[in-house]
Amino acid sequence: MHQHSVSELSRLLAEKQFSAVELTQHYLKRIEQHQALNAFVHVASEHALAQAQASDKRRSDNATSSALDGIPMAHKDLFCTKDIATTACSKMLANFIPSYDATVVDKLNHAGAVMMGKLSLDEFAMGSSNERSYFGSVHNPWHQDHVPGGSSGGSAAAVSARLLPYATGTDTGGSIRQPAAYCGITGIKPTYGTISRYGIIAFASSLDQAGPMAQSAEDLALILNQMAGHDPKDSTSSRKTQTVFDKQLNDDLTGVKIGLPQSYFKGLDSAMADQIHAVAKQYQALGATLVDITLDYTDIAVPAYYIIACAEASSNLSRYDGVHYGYRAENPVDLLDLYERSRSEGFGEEVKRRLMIGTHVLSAGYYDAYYEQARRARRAILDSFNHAFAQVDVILGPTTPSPAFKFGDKLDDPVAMFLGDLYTASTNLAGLPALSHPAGFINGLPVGAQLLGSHFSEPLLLNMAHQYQQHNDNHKQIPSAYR
Amino acid sequence: MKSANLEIVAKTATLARLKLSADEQERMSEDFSKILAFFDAINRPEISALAPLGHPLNDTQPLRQDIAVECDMSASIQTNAPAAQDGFITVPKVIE
Repeated sequence: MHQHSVSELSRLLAEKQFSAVELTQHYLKRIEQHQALNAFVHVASEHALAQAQASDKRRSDNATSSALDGIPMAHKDLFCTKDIATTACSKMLANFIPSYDATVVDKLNHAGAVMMGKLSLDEFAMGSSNERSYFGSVHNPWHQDHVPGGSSGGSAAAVSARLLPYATGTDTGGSIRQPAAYCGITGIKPTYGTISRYGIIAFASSLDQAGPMAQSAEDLALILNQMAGHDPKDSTSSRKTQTVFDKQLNDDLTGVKIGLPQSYFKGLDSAMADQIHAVAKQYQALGATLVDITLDYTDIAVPAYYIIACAEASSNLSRYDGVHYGYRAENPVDLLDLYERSRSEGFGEEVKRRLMIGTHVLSAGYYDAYYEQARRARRAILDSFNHAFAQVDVILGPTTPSPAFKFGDKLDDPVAMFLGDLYTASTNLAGLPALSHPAGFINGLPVGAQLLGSHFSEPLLLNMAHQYQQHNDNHKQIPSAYR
Repeated sequence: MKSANLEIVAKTATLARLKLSADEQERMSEDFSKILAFFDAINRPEISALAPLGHPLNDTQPLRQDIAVECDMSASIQTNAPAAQDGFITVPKVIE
């Protein structure tokens, strides 16, 4: 059962080849068998079986809710789930039990999803390797000595190992696309505002965006149909957003113009460049036209991103003060001691580093040189993308500079870790949609190709990736230990 | 440079309401040097005249209507509070 994609499972459930309860039991067994992967921080077996039973009842009544009805999934542990612990993989929130569901959780519940539990991430989504989770690192299913990527590392590893057909993730600077690439699955960061942020623990509010992670682009479209839409509870959720993402999947790619930015390939490892050029050639064979383009300011996207992300994080995470909820230090001598020790003991090293950087770039004397200048760079990057999208329909490049690295390789060098976001962070700054799909393997590790589009062009990105995946089986590869 | 950085780290920790050990301050000081040098790449004269961009779609933020909504979650909020008593979240005494 677990080899199947979401769309296949949807059809098999409709044909009554098996029930939602049987499917859920199968995945629960796999999750238990593969605990060593450490993808889950909480398995909600009873909750999942109750949802599966309700789904089977709807099906017998001919009242299924959506194509996702009865299909197991799990949420990154950054989405608030009512009465189910939501930790952000931080000591700070290790005992936090939300009294409400995030809008995404609510929407997927209404779509009939079977929620199996919560998935690991770098603490507060700050990290690119999942080595920063309070509950221990997740392993890459393709090689246990390598990282799964981050911050949505648990989501990517669980889908790659076929412990789930799909999962949710969030992407502030690449946190859906980079782990999707490292684990050999497909993931999309939609246009900023496409999916409600209500109930998602905030990291950097002008950059954060939720999205689905699954085997194929077709699956992403089916899931986005249920996740997206304006939400009155999130004033940054867009009223322009699409609500149907699967209509264009089978469109012909003839005439689609794909831009290949020269700056994306300058200095890129040759094996990685070869993989992306092979992907480009396949798109060309499907009717698309390849165009070399220039994309300015690629080199300043990562520093601009980290200034803005850390600044927003320092503001967002000021709420964790040991008073209202979350970790409180023992025996505080006064209120200031309570604030300072609760935060210092409750946050991990990477979170503290980013809060320090964010506080510094916002402080008097540095604000204009760093924060305001980064926001000017943000406009330059958006202008540069707008200029490119006047010439081409989509941009193609690598998702990451290399395949997944080994545990510990970048842990002591924050700048080296930051530079892993070279190809992903700029789209968050510009609010653009971007999709990563499997592009092949280097030394047995998967790599991803990234499609970037103009605002609200998700249907085109999904159409392209779906057509690619009709002629290629990279996305169907399963790590040998999990077949 | 090192002592200047340590001074900045100490001041920033106070602003961020973080209490760092001597070891942490030392490590943070080294990280600050590397990260701030990395950030210097954005000092490009040709972008200095641009208007800063806040909203990634260059949109303005819509405001919703100011309508009061009943929302009594005090019981569930208290269950997540580190310390609560008689319907109130408690903190160390601040008035002698």
